[in-house]
Amino acid sequence: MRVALTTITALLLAMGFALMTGCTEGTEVTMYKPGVYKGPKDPLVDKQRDPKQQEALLARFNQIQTDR
Amino acid sequence: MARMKFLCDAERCIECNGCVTACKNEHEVPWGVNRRRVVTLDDGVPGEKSISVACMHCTDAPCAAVCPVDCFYTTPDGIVLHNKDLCIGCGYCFYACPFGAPQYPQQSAFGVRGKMDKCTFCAGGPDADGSAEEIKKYGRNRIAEGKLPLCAEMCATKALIAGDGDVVADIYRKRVLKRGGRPQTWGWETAYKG
Repeated sequence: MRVALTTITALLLAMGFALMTGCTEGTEVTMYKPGVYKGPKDPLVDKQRDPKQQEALLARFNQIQTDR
Repeated sequence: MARMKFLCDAERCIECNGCVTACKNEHEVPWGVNRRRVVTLDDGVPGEKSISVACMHCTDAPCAAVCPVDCFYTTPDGIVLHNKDLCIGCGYCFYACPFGAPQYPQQSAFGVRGKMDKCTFCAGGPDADGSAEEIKKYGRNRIAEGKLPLCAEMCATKALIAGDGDVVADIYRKRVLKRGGRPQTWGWETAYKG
């Protein structure tokens, strides 16, 4: 009888802990500054500074979008 | 350094919606969201005009100015992009945008907004170029592949042009000189003033 009660208590505690795990939340806070992007850097930003990329885009434009 | 711009020549647009379809297909845009739309003025009346509208990638983007979490950034080419991981779906950018570009997929009942979605000038987002994550969130990154927006490249009448603003303006100027009339660079005054 005592063993069964201990088992039930242990089970209830385990279930309680399992339910409580969903109640936590991250404590990390991101402080925003107006107009300042704080996300990860886009790899395209460096790529666009490459003159070769600029030339490629201009060539593409001339190939497809110019008037015939 | 180029300054990327869209220009829609209203004299040439025939309201075929090819740009809308191309965009939706290329980026697998969610149901209910149109990154590009064709608006017809005086529909059915002789002299009606159609304009293809999407995010104009403004010089001083109002969406970026009002964003409470600053999820917007501008690339050196002047393309206005946003980070969907930072977006909280507040909807401020939707009210600020003069072109109605930001849109929100409906994700659940009770009108809860999802992450904002808008035209990326086919330049993806902050995730690794061409990664599955980027394609899933923002669509294909054609700029990284050395290509320009598909909506403009697919335009049969070359009404929609996308590229370096100087080159685009030069093409449009030549067209106006050839056909006569007044230049109507729709949206440019609003998007690229200053």
